[in-house]
Amino acid sequence: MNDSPVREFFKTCYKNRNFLIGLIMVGSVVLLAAFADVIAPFAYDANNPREILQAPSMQHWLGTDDMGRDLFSRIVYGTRITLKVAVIGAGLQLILGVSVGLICGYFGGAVDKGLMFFADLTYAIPSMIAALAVVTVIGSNLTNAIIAVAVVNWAAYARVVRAKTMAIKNQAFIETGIAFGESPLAIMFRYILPNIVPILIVNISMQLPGTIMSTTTLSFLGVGSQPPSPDWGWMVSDGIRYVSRGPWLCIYPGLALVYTVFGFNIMGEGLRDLLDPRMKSQ
Amino acid sequence: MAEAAIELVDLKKYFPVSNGFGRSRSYAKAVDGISLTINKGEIVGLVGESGSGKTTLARVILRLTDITSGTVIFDGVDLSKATRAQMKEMRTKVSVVFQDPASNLNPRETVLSSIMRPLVIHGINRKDAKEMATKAMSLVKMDARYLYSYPHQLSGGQLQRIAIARALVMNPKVMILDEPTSALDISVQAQILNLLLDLQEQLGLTYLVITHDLNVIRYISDRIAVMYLGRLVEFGPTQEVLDNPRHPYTKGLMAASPILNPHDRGREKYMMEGEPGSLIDLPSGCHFHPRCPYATERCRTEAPKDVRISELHQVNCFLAEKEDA
Amino acid sequence: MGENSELLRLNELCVDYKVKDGYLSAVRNVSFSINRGEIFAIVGESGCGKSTVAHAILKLLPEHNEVIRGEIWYDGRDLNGLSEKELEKVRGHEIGMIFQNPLDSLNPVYTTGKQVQEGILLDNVPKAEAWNKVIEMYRDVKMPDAEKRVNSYPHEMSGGMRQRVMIGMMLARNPRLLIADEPTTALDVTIEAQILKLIRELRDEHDTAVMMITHNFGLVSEIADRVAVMYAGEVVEIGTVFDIFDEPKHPYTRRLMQALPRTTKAQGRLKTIDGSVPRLTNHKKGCRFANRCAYATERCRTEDPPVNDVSPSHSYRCFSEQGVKENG
Repeated sequence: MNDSPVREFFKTCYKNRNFLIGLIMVGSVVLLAAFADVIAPFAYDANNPREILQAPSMQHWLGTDDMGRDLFSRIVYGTRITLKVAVIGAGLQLILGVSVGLICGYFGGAVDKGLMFFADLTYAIPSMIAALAVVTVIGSNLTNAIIAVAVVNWAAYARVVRAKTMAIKNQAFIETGIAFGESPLAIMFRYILPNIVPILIVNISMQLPGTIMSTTTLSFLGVGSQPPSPDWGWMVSDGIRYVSRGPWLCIYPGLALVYTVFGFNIMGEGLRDLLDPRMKSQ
Repeated sequence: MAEAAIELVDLKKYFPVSNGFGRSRSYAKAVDGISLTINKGEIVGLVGESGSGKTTLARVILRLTDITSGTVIFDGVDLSKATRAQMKEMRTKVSVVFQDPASNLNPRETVLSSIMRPLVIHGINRKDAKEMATKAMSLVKMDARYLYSYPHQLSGGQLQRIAIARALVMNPKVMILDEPTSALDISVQAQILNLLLDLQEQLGLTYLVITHDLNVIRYISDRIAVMYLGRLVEFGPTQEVLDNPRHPYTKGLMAASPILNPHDRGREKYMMEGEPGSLIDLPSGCHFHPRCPYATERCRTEAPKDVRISELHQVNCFLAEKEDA
Repeated sequence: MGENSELLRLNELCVDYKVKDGYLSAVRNVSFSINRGEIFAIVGESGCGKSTVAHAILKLLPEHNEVIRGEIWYDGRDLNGLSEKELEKVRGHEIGMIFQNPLDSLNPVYTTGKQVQEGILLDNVPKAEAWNKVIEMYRDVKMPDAEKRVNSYPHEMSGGMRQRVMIGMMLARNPRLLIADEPTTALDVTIEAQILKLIRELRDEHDTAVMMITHNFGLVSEIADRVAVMYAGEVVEIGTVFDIFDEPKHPYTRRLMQALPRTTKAQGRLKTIDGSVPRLTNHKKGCRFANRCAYATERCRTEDPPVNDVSPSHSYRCFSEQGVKENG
């Protein structure tokens, strides 16, 4: 009965394989990012004109690219960019989407109609074109690309949160809360939000791949990460030029991308089960 | 003369009804001019079918929704003109327990944190709040170990006890109980009814109990108020109303309610025909006239006034007027 | 009343659910019979297995991890031995079933009249004739404006009207047994009274037997001829409605009767039943009410209690042979 929190954690991990596997996958990416300087044998931008397009070997584990840069090192450093995109991108979208969704769902009426008009607008315009327009206005770099993707994609969160809020706000515990004097802010963040978290987490794991890919695409189009930055997506699209002479150039960054996205996905699924107190006691 | 705990004067709550093209002129008259006084220390049972507006009445008294017109006077304060501070004060003195035990508590909070919450908002420090929550748990005869449980780990009866504990924790004067036992089994219902009566005697509380179950009302209440389509059709001492109902709707409701004695099943029954109308498309005159066997031309055109047939008993029907004269 | 002829007999019906650590015995050794034209109520608190019994008769249990043992004799056949195909003929045709929430049983995209007609068409009746039968049926179930209501969609009707449609849909096939699972729980009392009156009239006119599953003792006392009281998966007492209300013998039934709010608070507090239902593992012997019973002895906890007959109509499952004397 009285397990220490640590034991409790391992016990739930054992019961919840998805979360465990996802955690290991995402954790490995985080570790790579944290210790990139130690792990990577070369700098990500170290050109070497004498060793261009080399196949994987003992010296260059995953080969080299058209400028003779070590692919393994670039992939390792690339984790930092991918994580930055994932965390900042999802964070921005969440902040926008959750606030708008809660406000719309809770207050309804004109506020709801007004704000949801903007949400619908983001669906009406092709997202890539909209994102390109935004980056063009605020300037081309990775941070701005992340912002642009967030501006275009927050509405999915807003809709989910709004629908859930409307369903929950009619439950008795909300009315009781108001009856003993809770403020609207407390109702939204203390009563409604915690009950939305599980569905939000599922949505994050569904949205993350799209967010990473969109940002990557902007990089490929030249308005996101700028070379020589080791952005995986950029590396894949750049590697396509040499697909017959050096297929490893697109395969390995692509695998890294798939690995990370998949890790986030199943970790999200596991987390949803863990965060549901109904699941915990079973 | 008894002191009033809550006084409603010609209280109205209309909801605008959209006809699909934005705003329109029609209204759902959920509460349509209700006047009644609940005295301190009494238990008033409010009965009515779904759509009678009984739950809306509770929500208006709790100020969960705005008043359209009329007044709610609580402890001498007119809530329709109350200041922020007065409202906050009122929130501590009137509490509520809703029907569904499962949705009465935040599923994401422990029992302790749910019970403490009202105290914390009203500025009581956490240590004292915890102590008061523990006390409230013992008032409803629950073991303190359940303070650390989550709602899904508890049974319906336990959840309802906890909802009552939370309602009591601020030391309220009035409790509004919306179908407090409808979702519970008979043996658990008996426990909760006993508990409510014990608490009322012990703490001198005033209850407004909303239910559709006449057997529960007969058992628990001192006075009974009957609502039909937004109006109060009869209000009087429980025994008097049940033994000698004066409004035709009260008669029909009582005849329809299942008795708990099979020997009474052959009794002469006045079966009410038809279904309750809708609050949006209300009948003219007396709202009950389309289902009333005694309806006259006057009932179709003119709304009856409350007739006082004894000090505590009022009836909203022309018939009572005649009998009384 | 005509002579009592048996329509349905359950013999030692058991329903076990497979769970992670073995079997859960949801229904244990339930035996009773229902006669033609009789209204038989199964009453009990939530989780007592009353609904499981009703669903087991037609093999309509939703989980598909259950084991049904025992005999279900209906009109000379054991339903428990029938194939799914043969059962389909029995369902709806000979045994009809209505549920608490008719909205779940009706298809929202077709008019209710069409759905009733569908059932009639299964009997190879010409279309036009079937439609006339539908209208007739709506009149039979006292639907207001029957000619117009056949064209209503489920969402355009009130709960009472939908339940009338369900009853009509079942009766269109002329069943000899109607299983009603909490048919009025979602309805207002005045509508409930109308539906009960309708069920009583149908029984009187068509001699249909009704098996009423309910938690509401008011309903039982209004309409039932005979009653089975269930507790924790077992029938603890069976008798006529007067046996049960006037002279309950089983400690559980007695306590339940005293928990009903039939008095006023001036006459004292209601009796309650402390404790809770035990976990229903099937290998455990003993009376399932023992942990809450004021009269329980060691024997109650270790041996299965016998069924005692008070009269030909009245029996209960308990070691005490005279039944418990006074309230404890």
